[in-house]
This record gives sequence, structure tokens and C-alpha cells, in this order.
Amino acid sequence: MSSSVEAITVLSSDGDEFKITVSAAKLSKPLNWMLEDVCFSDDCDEVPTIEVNSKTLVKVIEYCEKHAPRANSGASDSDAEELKKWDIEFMKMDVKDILFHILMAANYLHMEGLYDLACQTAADLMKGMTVSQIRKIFHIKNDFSSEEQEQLRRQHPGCSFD
Amino acid sequence: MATGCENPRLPPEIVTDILKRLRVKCLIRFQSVCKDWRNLLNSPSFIKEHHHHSIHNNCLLICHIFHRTDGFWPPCLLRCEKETVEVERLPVMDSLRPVTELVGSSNGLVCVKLGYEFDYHPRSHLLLNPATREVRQVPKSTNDHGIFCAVDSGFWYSHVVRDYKIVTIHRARNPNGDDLPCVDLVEVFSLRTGSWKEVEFGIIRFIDFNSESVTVNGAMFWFGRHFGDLRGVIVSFDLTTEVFTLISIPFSTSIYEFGVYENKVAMCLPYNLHEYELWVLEEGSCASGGKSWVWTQKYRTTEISPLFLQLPLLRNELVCYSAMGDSGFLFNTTATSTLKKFASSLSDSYILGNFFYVESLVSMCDTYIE
Repeated sequence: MSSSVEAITVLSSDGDEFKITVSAAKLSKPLNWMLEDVCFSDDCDEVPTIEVNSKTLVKVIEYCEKHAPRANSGASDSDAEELKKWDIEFMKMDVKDILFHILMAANYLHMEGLYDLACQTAADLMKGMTVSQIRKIFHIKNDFSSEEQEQLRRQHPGCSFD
Repeated sequence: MATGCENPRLPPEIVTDILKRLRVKCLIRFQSVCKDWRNLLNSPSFIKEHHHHSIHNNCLLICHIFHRTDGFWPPCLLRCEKETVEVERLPVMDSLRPVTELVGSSNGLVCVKLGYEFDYHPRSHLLLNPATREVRQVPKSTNDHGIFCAVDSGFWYSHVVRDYKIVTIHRARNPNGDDLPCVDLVEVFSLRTGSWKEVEFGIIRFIDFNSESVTVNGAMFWFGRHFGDLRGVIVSFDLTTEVFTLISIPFSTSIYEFGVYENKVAMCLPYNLHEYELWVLEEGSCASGGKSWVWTQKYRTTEISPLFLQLPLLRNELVCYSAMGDSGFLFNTTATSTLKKFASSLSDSYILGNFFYVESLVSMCDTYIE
């Protein structure tokens, strides 16, 4: 196969096929390695699997395709500004149920930009949450005794622990 | 892995990367989530990571503002957003008896002075972390019995000796009420030992201190003048060796502003009626192996009107001044040496002391290593 390939096909962990352009795949080191494998190996029939579920992979690819032109060629300030606005809109969608999956995927795919964006989005969401809401989304059990909780309160008078 | 829409369990390193983006107020609250989180949020490695993230993303200014109608405000924060400057009150500062001087800010810890010099009542230093609300009274020096008055001071963390230090420069009081014009005592407080000690100051005895301290690379700097002549001079105090050095200034400093630019000591001076130039002090090496200092001109600008007198230089690209008390402005200087104007809610006020401030979880109990 020649290096003039414009897009490659990958499989999600659910077994669905997705197309990702070569320039978009360059945003992720692991994806880029897979791309090189596909482009340069003789065994072209093999479709690489990415350990990310379909719903998340759709979003990750959407992000890559949007950011690829800027990452590959550099961009003006107005483009950067536009991209920032796009990121905010992008993170508004289905954030509650998909955000942590995107975080895991960005971490696994070494995508720094998406990882930072998702971490910041999670942090921003947490600001407005109660401690019990935090426990719920992070699957955490409260392992403090009531005495220990009282001790925390005493250490930080004037702070709310709800 | 969990199916469908359920949130997956995040590995600890991702949890850390999210938490380090939160403000201290939230982190104190989230200590009660579980023991693992409490231990993480109190661990030196997390405190350090959180601090580093904040330095690059949430650098604020802590400042002392004199408002024309309200008088002094307790020290508060200036948050510089893209095109505006927001003032943020600090509850812990509001609850203190009048703070009369901001001494310095380092790693999220702030040193302030309480009380007034003219009271003849010794003023006291207080160390505090405004974010965690930890407060510690600094013990009084044994020399502190009304004979001396402080003319200048500074507070910073020394990476080399891993200690926070307060430096105070004193003059003896003249019984007639006027302060004698020379330095009579310099004391350094170490948080690690919890005590004050005197240091050698002969070289600065006849210097008149004219600025707040700025700290760059482990040394404190002041702008001063030799008594009896108008020559400006930079006084530096190495926080590790506790030795003073004088650095000469090769240009006229009849009107000047003194601050930090790109992590270097900087001075902004009028070049002529319409132009200002910015000079930075850079460290060179000399043949004898010791330090030498070189002044370099960074840029000249025509956009500052000489009508604006107060012009403290701030963070890398930020120049702030209040124009004759009429209104407050912040300017963002860029590499192209143009100045961007910022809107500000600081009208009718003068900014007196100002320091970079980064919210942190750093505690005075364990001496923090940056």
C-alpha cells in the first residue's frame, strides 16, 4: 500500500467500523503508529481495533477531524479563537454520561489537547456539585466515620462539607 | 469496562489531573469525599502539582488598594481575564484588624503587617494562606521595642534553603519624631527556625529605600537612592547567603517604575515626553567567577501618556497603573511593544502594594519545596 492513503478504517471496542483521515489520526501517537502499520505493512486486510466504545470513538474522531487542519499547518489567532468556541460547544454534548469515557480515551490515545479539555470540563462541572454527587459519579463510598467527619469540620471552620 | 452510558471508574492519575484544576475552596470541601481523596489532597506531591498548575493558569495579583472614598480596602485579589480585571475580596483578610502593609506573597502564602508605625506600638507580622485560611502570628523580634521603625521589608521562599524568610530593614527612631536617614538594623525571620536574627547591612547603611521589594530567582530587590545624591541604585539581598549587593543604574531615574518583567528585575522610564522605555536587569558572569549585572533595553513605547504616574510593572506581560487616581487601567504589553487597554472596575483607586499570588494548599506546617 502506498502512503497516499487518505483515510484508514478502525474498529471500535464494540466492533463497529469507523473511518478516520490520515491528518486527523496524526493527533494521536498510538493512532499514528497504527496508521503507519496499515500503510506500510503487506498485510493490508487487518483492521486495527481501538479500545474505545463506538459512542466515544465518534466524538474522539469528530474532535480529531476538527483540530487536524490547525495541528498540521498552524493557524491564525482568529482560527484559534473559533476553535476554542467550537471546543466549548463540543464539550456541551452529552457530557454527563460520556465525559469520563472521553477522558479515558484521550488518555489512552495520548491526545493532550482533548485530555486537557476534558479534565477542565470535568473540573468545571464538579465545582457546582455536592460531595454526595461527587461520590456518585466517581463510584466512591463514604468511608468516614461520623467522628472523622466531625474532625474535618473542626479543622476547617467556616467551610461547607455538603 | 462498564457498558453503555455508565461512568467508568477513572484511574487515580486521571482523578489527580482533574482535581488539580479545582480551586482550593472546592478541594477543602472534597476532602470529605473519602479517605483516599483526603490523603491525596493533603499529600505534598498533590499540593505541588496543584500549585504548578495554578502558576501557569491562575496567576492573580494580591494588592492593597486605596479607594478615594472608602479609604484602604483589606488586601484583595485582582483576577485578570481576557479583557477585564475583576476584584475578588478575601474573607480572611476582611476579618483581620487593619492590614497596613502587604509584605510579600510566595507559594500562596502571604505576609502582611498589622497596626500603624506612628502608634509607637510595635507592628506585628502575620503569615497567612488566604485560600485555606491558615493564619500564623510571627513572633516579635527582641529588638522590637519602639526604638526602630521598619522602612522596607519583603517575604519570599528560598528554594535553596527550603525556608520562608521575612526581611525587614529598620531605621532608628529620632526622639524628635523625625526618622534618622540611615539604616540601623536589618533582621531576617526564618519560618523554619521560627525566630528573627540580625544580618550584616553596612553596604546599605546610606541608602534611601524607594520601592516595594520584588523577588526574582531567590533574591530580593529594591530600588533606592544614595543619600545626598539622586543616583538610583538597585539593592539586592540573596535569600540563601543573606548578603546585600548594590547594583548601579547607568541611566537617569528621576522618574521611574520598578517591577518584574519576564522574571527579571525591570525599570520603566520616560525617554522623552511621549516615550517610555523598559529596561531589564540580567545576570551575567564576570572573569573573576562572580556575578555581574547587565541592563538591557527591552522596548520603547509611545502609548503611555506621561500624565500617568503610577505604573507598577506586573506579571510578564502586564503593566498596571492607575492614572492620577481618576481611573484604573491595566495594559498588556506584548512582544510587539504595543499596549492593550483593559477595562477595570478599579476606578477611583490607587494600587499601593501588589504581588503575584497563586492560590495554593501550601501549609506553614510543612515547609514546602517548589
